[in-house]
Amino acid sequence: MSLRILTASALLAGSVALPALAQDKPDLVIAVDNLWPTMDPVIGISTTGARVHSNIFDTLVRRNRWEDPDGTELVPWLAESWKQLSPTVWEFTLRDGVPFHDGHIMDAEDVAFSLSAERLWGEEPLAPRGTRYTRGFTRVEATGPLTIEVETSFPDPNLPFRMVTPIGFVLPKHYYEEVGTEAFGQMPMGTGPYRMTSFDPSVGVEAVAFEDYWAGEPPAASLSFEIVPEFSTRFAGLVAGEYDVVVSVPADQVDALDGTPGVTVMEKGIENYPMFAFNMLETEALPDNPLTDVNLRKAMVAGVDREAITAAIWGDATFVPTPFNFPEYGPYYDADRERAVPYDPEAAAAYLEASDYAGEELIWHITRGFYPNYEIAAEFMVEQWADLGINVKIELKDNFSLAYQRPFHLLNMSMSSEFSGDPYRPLWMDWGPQSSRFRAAHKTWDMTEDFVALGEKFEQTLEFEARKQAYLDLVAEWEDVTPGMYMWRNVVSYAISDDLDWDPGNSAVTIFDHLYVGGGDG
Amino acid sequence: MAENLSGAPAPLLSIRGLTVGLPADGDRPEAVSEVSFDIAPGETVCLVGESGSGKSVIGQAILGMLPHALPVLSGEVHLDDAPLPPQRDPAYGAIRSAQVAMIFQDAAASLNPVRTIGAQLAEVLEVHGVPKRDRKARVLDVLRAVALPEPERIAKSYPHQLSGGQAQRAVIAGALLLEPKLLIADEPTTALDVTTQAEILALIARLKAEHGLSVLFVTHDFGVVAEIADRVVVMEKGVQVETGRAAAVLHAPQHPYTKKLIAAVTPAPRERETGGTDTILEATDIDLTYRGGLFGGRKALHAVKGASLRIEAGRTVAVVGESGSGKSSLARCLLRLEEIDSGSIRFKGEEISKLTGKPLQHLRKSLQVVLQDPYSALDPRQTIRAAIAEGPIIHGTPKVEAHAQAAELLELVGLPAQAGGRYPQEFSGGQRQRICIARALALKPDLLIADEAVSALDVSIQAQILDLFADMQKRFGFAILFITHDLAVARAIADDILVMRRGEIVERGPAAQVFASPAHPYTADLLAAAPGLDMFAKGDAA
Amino acid sequence: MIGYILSRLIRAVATLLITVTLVFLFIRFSGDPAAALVPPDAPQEVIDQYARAMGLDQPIWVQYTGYVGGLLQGDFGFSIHTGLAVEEVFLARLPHTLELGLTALAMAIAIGIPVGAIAAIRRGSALDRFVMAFSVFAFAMPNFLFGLLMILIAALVFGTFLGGDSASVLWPALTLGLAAMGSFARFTRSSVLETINAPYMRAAEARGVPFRLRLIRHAAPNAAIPLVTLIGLSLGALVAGSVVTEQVFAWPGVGQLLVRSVATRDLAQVQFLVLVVAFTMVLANLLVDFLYLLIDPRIRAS
Repeated sequence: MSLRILTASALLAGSVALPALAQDKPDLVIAVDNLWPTMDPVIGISTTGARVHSNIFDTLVRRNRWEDPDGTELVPWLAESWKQLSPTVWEFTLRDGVPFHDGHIMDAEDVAFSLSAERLWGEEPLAPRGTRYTRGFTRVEATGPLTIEVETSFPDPNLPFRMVTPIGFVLPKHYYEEVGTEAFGQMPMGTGPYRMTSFDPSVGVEAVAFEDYWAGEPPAASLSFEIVPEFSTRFAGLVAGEYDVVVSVPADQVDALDGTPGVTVMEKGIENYPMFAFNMLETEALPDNPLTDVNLRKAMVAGVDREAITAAIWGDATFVPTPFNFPEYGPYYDADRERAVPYDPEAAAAYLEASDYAGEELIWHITRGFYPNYEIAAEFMVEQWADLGINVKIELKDNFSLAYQRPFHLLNMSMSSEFSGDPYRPLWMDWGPQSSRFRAAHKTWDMTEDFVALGEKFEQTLEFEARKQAYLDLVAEWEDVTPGMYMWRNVVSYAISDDLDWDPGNSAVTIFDHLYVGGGDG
Repeated sequence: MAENLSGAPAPLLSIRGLTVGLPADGDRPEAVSEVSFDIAPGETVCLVGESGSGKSVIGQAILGMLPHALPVLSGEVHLDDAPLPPQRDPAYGAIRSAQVAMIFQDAAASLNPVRTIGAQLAEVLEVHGVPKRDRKARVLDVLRAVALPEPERIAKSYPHQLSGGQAQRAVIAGALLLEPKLLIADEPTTALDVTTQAEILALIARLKAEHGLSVLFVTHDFGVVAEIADRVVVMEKGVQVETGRAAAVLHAPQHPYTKKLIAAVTPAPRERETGGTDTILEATDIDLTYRGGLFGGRKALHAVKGASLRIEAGRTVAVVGESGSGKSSLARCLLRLEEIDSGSIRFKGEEISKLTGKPLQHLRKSLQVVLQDPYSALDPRQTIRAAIAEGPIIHGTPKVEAHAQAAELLELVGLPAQAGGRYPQEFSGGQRQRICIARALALKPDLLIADEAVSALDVSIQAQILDLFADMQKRFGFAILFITHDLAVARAIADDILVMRRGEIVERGPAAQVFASPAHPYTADLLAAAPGLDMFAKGDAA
Repeated sequence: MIGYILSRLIRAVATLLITVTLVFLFIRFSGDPAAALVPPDAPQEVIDQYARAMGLDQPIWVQYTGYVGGLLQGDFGFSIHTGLAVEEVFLARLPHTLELGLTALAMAIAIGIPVGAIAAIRRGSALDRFVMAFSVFAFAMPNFLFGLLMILIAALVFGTFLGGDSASVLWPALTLGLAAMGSFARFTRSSVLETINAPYMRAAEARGVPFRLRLIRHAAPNAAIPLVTLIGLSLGALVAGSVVTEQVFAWPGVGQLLVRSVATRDLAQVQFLVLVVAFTMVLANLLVDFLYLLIDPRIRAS
């Protein structure tokens, strides 16, 4: 095993010309809390992995966050253009002359491999965690030196959006096949702005500027990610000048640390929404579940002042979303749309009055420390429910598999909006027939017939105006059932040295190329 | 001082008006006050007193080893007419071992447990400048001189590999290495069996004769004094109460304290009473073997071999023997703390060797024990009232009644009833042994087993405790099995004597008969070795 | 003596076997390892696929016998994340942890023992009181807090960074060794006090052995006997402390590997690391037992 990694490193080192001497370019060091143990960008789908991947690899399509923090615009990247050949077939034309870190020029074979059934979506694929993004794939084929076709079982007007996700990263087929999946994960190679020189999953990543980078000269001579598990230590390293960026400022320390000379703290909303699901099912563990009563659910949603709680603990770093009305959806986003069940203590009392609830204790399973500030907000909410006469008890669990063990009435979770052009994923994938909410052992609801009918209609409607209306109808049904409650848009935070001009936009993905460093004027 | 007029040679050591202070919180202002005596060349002076009398302080003062807490307030000490340096002066380096050597009570403890005997003796030569090549031979010579067998092996041995007697010989050898003029022996035989004690005393006497050694022998035991002393200095609470030739002091003691000490070693034989004939305990042919460890690291030890004995109500049987003779193992068998291999034990007619559970617990009530060490026998976190009342409460006596009874018992054993609320550490050793006896009596036993119950006490206290045993026996009528290594103690308390040797009972009989005409040669040896028991015979003859 | 050695060895093997079994069970019952590999909202098929790949769909006794069988053949398993043999991953971190742990132990011994001995010799002096106060502080101070305070003060006041692998090992080692240093100092003090008042020390004095020699030849070896045990036991505290210290100082050693392996439910990795820790402890205890044979002739005899 280690021999193969050595081979991989040797191949890389031997085949790449030594980089030209960097002239006054900084060595950037990013202190992170952790790194995913493999750098394969699909097997390693994770927040910790995403901080590295885009610096080593490029996707076919990219989002423009250097000009628009929410990045609603698609930018051709390794794919120069794309077009729909038929309702189910899309063709991507690749950029010519893009070198991998070993000098090998990227072609359609590499892209076809990266998107292949063998790697992503067949039986027992090499990187099984990509199936979420390859829904409906039936064919991926290199149709020319620089063209590939992707065919799906159903018409997908938004297929190019999928190429900004981790499946859009292009891997060098020749190198991958030579070293194998595991060794590739330990010494990956892409076309990105930095070439990895060492990776130790419990120490960090070291990479140097890839001088032949096709998109523009990397702004730093080298880029390292060092694992520093303890935030205070990361922060000390930042203050002492050892690190340029440190991640994950604890939410309660943001204000205090922002005042430190030479340091700026940034809070960024990201495309993930912490929430809880109501367990609407009667099971063996929970035979008389009062939450089967929609009036109780609505009473609970109407009974908490989410705006006040969110403002109290987050300041203006985030906001409370109207269900599925997320700013990253561009034309689907409507800043004026209001929630069907807003905060209204009187309405809450009326809903409660109409319910059969008789003061039973409701158990809320929360995974300890997983979502920033979640426990604090939960305590506020429990207080407000108590004022109303609803008795909720928080039970903290050490991990998700424990939190999933019944009985529970409320279950913590978060939903990622996933940039797919429209709210298909959070609405239909996360609540519909294929969702964990409906199918997993820890399922929390049975879909109503209306929800299924409206969902199928939304899925099949492709034309924008009609699709938007189908989306609104489906949301209305969801709010009518109220199977859960969204709390706020998740926030990530960075503390960075004042010497570094860098802004990742509203994202947990960190990229240190010429577009993001130095004000995006590269 | 008057002795000097007798034309004796100039003294080797002369102590004049030595006064040593005690720390402010001591029980008296001075450890020793105005002590004066001489030691002539070749003379043995016994410094006699009980613990706390200040006798050991004098020995330390001569070697300059008094700690800061015990300052010399006045007086002087001359060795060979030259004044000794101030305490702790580096000049003592040339005096210690070379001119004055000292040996201590617990020989094994005064040897470093992790270094061989040879290394520790050679070190004495090393620090006094003897070249390395000569050291080994001199160590072997001196080991031979103290009659240790196989000197090479002894030299390579660690202290724990030697018997008590061997260790003391080795320590004496170390003291003789540099041929000093004066040997200070601080209770050197107290921890030893009688026969070993006799051997060591004989050794010291021989070395004294061969080397013209002077000896300052610190002891509490007039038996020892009778064996070896030329002159005697008696100390009581830091004051020199009597000084004189050994024979004179032994036979015509002037000071009441001296008289008391002498009386304690030569207790009057117990007055015979017509004891009951009810048999309380009868053991027949009991055997006990200690098995080796799991992996055979230890050999099996046959501790008791076919022992039989009978104890009648109201009588006292003393089991006498040296350490390792099996006397304590025998007691443990009778107490059912060991499972015997064979034989029978009948208690008031009932076979008890196989009892378990409730009946065994019930038996324990009738069979009480008093142990040697009164310090560890009492729980330091329990008031003595609670300690005494605990047994009766366990066996069903109401708490109030048990406490009242405890107060009565305390008075009976000579302690104020109000003392019941106090903790063991507030009492002296003798008082604690009284408490232990009261605790044993609280359960109204039929048989009391006393295992070396007075061995840890000063002699004058010993006598008091033995009297207490006898008083209580007269009052309550229980039988006593008294385990002891000390023939004087056995003689003072026993109606009947059993002598044990290597697990076997070699002699038995009424006390008077055994002491007057021992049948077994071993008993005879024991009696001959015991210092003081023949003191009067010696004295009478003189 | 052979019995002594044999019984210690049997106990050591039994301890290891029990440890392996308990860890095997605990890690499987404290949360689904397959679920930990994927995001909380991953579909069940993906979780099942991982479970199959890791053999977790087998009955637990099949998994157990397979695991123990592998152990006996020297096959410790593979990390589910990297696919590397767990012992390779471990060996890559080991030098860091050894450097940290041995430096900490050396500091604790080199400072704690002399300081405790001096306090005992100067009993009751201001120095003694200072040493005792220091040892209480050192022992009571959580190394997590001490390490963080050092790092923050160094960064905010002096502008230097004490963490990361480019910084000196001295700071994390001081943090890690502090508690041991305190307990060594206190223990040495009482042990030396006990020995310098022992009868054989007075006897040596009476034989004319000078103070310095009494201390070196007589007091030191005897005082060292209980210290050997303490040092052996403190290895356990060092291993436990290294987990925290490595986290705080971002020291890329075995402690950090253990933390992340537990967090990611990397079964084989966690099992191997716990096995190594248990083995280290057992080995340390064995060493202490056998060292006793060397330094204490009384045990050698029995």
